[in-house]
Amino acid sequence: MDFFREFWLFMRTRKRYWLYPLLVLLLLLSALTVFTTGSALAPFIYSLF
Amino acid sequence: MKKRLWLFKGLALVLPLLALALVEGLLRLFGYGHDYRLFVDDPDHKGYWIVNQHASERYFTETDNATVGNFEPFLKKKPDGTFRIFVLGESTTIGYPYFHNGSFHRWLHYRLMHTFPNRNFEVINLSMTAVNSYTVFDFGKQLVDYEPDAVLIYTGHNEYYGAMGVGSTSSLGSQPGLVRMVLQLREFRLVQLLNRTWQRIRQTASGQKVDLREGMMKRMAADQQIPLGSEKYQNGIEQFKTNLTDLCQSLSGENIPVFVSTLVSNEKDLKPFISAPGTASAEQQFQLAKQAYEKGNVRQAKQQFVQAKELDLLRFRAPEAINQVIRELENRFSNVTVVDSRAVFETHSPSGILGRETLLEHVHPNLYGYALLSDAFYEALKKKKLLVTDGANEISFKQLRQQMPITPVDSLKGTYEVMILKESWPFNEPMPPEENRPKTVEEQLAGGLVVKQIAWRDAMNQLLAHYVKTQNQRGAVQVSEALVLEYPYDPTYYGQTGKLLFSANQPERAVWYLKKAFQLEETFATAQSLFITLLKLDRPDEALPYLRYAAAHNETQFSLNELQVFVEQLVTAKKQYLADTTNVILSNQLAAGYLKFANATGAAKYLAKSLRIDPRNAAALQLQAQLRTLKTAPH
Repeated sequence: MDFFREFWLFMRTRKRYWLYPLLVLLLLLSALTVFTTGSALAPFIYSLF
Repeated sequence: MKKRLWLFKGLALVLPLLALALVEGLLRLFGYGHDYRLFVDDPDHKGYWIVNQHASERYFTETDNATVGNFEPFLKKKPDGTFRIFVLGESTTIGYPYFHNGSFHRWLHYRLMHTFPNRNFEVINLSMTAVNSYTVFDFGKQLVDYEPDAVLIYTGHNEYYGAMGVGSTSSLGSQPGLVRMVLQLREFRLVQLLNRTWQRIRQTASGQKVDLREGMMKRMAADQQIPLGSEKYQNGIEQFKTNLTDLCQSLSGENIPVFVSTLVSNEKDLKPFISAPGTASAEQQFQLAKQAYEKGNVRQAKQQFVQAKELDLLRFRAPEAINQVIRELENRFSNVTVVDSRAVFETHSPSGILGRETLLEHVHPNLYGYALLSDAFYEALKKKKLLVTDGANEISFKQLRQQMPITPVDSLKGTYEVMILKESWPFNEPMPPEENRPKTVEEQLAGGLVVKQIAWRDAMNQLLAHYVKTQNQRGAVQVSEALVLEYPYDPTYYGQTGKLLFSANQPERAVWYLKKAFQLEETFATAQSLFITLLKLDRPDEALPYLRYAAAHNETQFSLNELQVFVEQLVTAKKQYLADTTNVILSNQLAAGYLKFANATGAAKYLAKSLRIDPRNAAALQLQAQLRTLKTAPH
């Protein structure tokens, strides 16, 4: 139990070790989603191709 | 203490991944999002795979706009002797605007199943409209696990505006590696959640739903002009090259024969969609080409028509560089064959210039064009010796065009679809005025299909009922054959076609359909139809097993035992007769046997043989008199 308490304290004080990577990962995934978005043109002209 | 600190740091770094994994697990647990595997269990046919209806959503940012293709089931366990073909591509590949049996893969399927009547063919089309080489690559690489005997590919027109194409995707769209990574990531429900959230934000920000107004389409397309040789143009070629090369490498590496077709597009009967101002414009090239064509300078005309297409700023037609990429594949991979459909179309076009003779608008073939496309692939399969025909049953291209079951409803539906398409941007061709006359049944059904008032199967069933009612036997057979092609695992349609062909006095063709029906589902009714048809054709040895089955599963009050004994005697007599074809006693015996069971055709056949050898044979003459009575007797 001591181990987990110590780990919890570590997490509370050193957020950059877990919070930043989490934010970076989420930002990366979001960026990929946004930057590979298809233009709205495609749905209008499906019947053309 | 220091050691523990490093452990904590390590655990803390792993924790975000665990957190994401937990969210992913929870989303899956609560059924959020979709599985994007290519094939799933067919809910309607146990033991069959079918295309996953959600498989295409991966390629569309707005999943509501994702197109779907055919749902053609195939056996999980491929039976021995089955030839399995997968077809990959875009709208042309799926047969727009006809779909169903208009598509080239169905023309090919029909020709294969009748040219090789004893083989089983599975032709599974995985194409869908609006997709491009990203989808073809993704779908294609998954095929190695499904035992293909050949993979046929026709793609390349949608590299710019198709799903994830360089002209339809934001800034990262020009990096094929990155796009592929994103496509892989979309398998995760978490990414699907992010994607949908982003969709909603965009919709809310724009404050509107999908706007189909022509002006909006026009304005947006204007932003997508791609000049020849520009960076976007090159990116499109590079994207296509990367995807197709990697797919060919993957399939060829597994010794799967791949057939990639060159692309066709309208050259002379479609003026460029958007032309740049100036002297070297698409429009100017097109006008020069037309003048050269009118003067009979066809070589120059061809070159300028093609150049006009190349300069067209709206890239709905694949540039020549795409065909060049396709042609180079054959030199790079031993299992890849280039099917030069473009050359086939040129051969069948006046002066080798592609136009309305084979194409409906900018890229989609008409029914003749689809037949040509199927012929190009058929000849390539033969040339590669994947299919070797002895020529006995081979259907020629001319026969194929006559026999292919494309109903008037399918044909009209395609015509109407194209009229609607051409009415709007970028064609802007007004619809012809409606004729002031009552619509035929075919026109009504085709109209219903276009506006999605009626499902294709219902339309075909109604058309069949109409033809049966009006005693249009040829039409009824055609519709029934069309249903067989659409539902190749449904024994009902095979049986129905067999019976219709028998009624239309085509027992030879009926046998093939009835045998297929019996293979799929053994029933008394099919066995009965089969032995009757086979006896009519004087094939008692073939009829006997079906007669035995019918006798063992008799659903009528009449005993079939006497007939069974007779057919057994007939088989023996025929064997003896074949060993001594001048034996009049035997031919009379066969004639008498057939006469007993009112088979006038069989009786007449053997009586003719008897009387040819002995024109005064008393027994034969007596039988002939009985035959006349049978023929004149009321049915």
